[in-house]
Amino acid sequence: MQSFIKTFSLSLVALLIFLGAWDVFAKSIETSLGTFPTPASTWSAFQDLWTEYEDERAKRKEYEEGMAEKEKLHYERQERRRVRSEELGKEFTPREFKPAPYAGKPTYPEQIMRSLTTVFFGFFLASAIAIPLGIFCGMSKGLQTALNPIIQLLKPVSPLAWLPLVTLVVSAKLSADANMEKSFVISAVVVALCSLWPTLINTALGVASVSEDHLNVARVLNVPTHVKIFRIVLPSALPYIFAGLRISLGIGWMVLIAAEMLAQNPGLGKFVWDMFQNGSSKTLGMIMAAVITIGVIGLLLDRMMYLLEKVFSYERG
Amino acid sequence: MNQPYLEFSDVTKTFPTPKGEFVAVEGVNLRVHEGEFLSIMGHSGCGKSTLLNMVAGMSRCSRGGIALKGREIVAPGPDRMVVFQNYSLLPWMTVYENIYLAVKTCRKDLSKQEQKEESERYLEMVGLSHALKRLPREISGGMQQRASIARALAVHPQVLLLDEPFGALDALTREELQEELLTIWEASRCTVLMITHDIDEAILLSDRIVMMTNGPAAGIGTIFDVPFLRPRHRETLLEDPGFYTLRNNVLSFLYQAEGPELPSEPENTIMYAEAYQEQEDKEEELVIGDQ
Ligand SMILES: Nc1ncnc2c1ncn2[C@@H]1O[C@H](COP(=O)(O)OP(=O)(O)O)[C@@H](O)[C@H]1O
Ligand SMILES: [Mg+2]
Repeated sequence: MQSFIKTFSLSLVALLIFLGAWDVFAKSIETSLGTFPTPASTWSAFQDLWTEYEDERAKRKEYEEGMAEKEKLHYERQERRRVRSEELGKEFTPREFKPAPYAGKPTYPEQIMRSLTTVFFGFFLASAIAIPLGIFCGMSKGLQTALNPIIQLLKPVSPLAWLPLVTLVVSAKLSADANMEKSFVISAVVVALCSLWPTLINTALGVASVSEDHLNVARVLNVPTHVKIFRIVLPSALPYIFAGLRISLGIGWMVLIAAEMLAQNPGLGKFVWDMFQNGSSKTLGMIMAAVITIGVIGLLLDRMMYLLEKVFSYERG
Repeated sequence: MNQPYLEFSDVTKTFPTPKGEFVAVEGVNLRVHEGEFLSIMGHSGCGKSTLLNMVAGMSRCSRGGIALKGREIVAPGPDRMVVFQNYSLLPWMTVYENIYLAVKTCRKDLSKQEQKEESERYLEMVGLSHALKRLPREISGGMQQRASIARALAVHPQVLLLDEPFGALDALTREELQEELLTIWEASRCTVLMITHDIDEAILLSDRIVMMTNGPAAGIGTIFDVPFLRPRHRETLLEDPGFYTLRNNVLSFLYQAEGPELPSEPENTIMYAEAYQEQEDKEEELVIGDQ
């Protein structure tokens, strides 16, 4: 408890100094779009974003209520026409009510949700490939040796280098009526391509460093292969795998912002880009708000993976 | 009873090293009867584990071969269970799950219910009924070794292989476990090969003690018969003068094997006595320290 108070007060002091320095620093920088955002203007940007969201929500609600009203009227009219058609002995085909979807612009929380959905989609895609492949690499020295040069070569490639190719491939493969947006798939695939490697390498390492003693148990008991993989190799490699997943998600989140900017996927990256494009001193505050949001979410994702890592590591817990 | 059950013929093991072939074990010939309890002794690094690993099937003989019931050993299998020196329980499974995994894999003739009962029975036999749900790291080394022995015995092996099973335990736990192993083994009477550094342990448990010469190219130096009647008890054994004669013979073999620069025989005898006195003092200290 004592040490907690100490940590907390130290962090608080550092934070205050940081905010003060930021303020002084920001006021001294004049950009073409006005002064650099200060803590105060960033805070007011957050408030603006919140009011915007509430306004948008009110508008949407209004729209939906209007639609509900229209729907009621539609079916009343239908009913009248049906009765009249019957009287005249004519055929009557009822028509469904199809409301036009609400076409408001995405609000800030929606953009955050979009970014999170994209990053998790890409992350799960990458994990679904990297973990099994890593297991095979770790269990077979030959495969490991064969794949190692390719992995080492692809690992340092920047996400931006992938983007044009991914865009082309996704555009070619994804038909226009698919119920996933291209920009979403492109961003997710780029995330996947970059967050593949840490999980793959760590899984292979974890599997390869399963204790010889534990493998000997499997050999003496002559356990079937699936038991060996799921009861002995995987549990022992789990801490490594989770450490890899944690790094992967961190990289994925960083890569996502860049990918969204370029692919115009309506998430935080696009938000930053749009704010930059219609630049004014007010939007600078918005960008700063987005930067802080990205940081906070990145931190939360990392904490989440850290907790999972703790839960699954049987020894270091 | 007298046909060879486990037979070593000209067993030789060489390891490739940067400096050329290293002959660890050479020309071992040995016949082990069914139900026999054999101890293997020798100086550290002489090749005891190497020999045991070949029986387990973990490594192949470079020359010669080992046959169990007339069939050559080529791979590991549950008919030759190993109790490893470091217990080798899977740390992410409870004690019970560790034993159950072995029973489930190797005792397919039993129904699921019977497999469960069998796992519990063996854990009870080694006095671990209260620790079924514990993880290996939550129990003491002695308890882990009990679990490891229970796992090995629960699959009903034809040969039980023990590599310095009690080497890492304190003297009191070691004695306790020796007696437990003795009781359990009396009931099952499987064939046992046990590597040990503890002469008293070897005498208490085994029918014969195989003394290995020093490596490289270690072989069997001599074999001591342990004639004491079973069931054996430590107290009665300690009163038997034959026990001390045998003990001295084993000790003198070990000292002889240590190297040519050692003092000649008469001086040696004095040394054993001293060494023995020293060990006794230590054990006494332990008992006193524990109270
Ligand atoms: N895989 C190996 N490669 C090379 N040398 C080995 C290997 N395993 C054991 N040895 C050597 O063989 C000798 C016997 O080892 P070991 O059987 O472990 O001895 P111990 O009697 O102490 O159990 C030692 O000199 C050891 O260095
Ligand atoms: Mg050894």
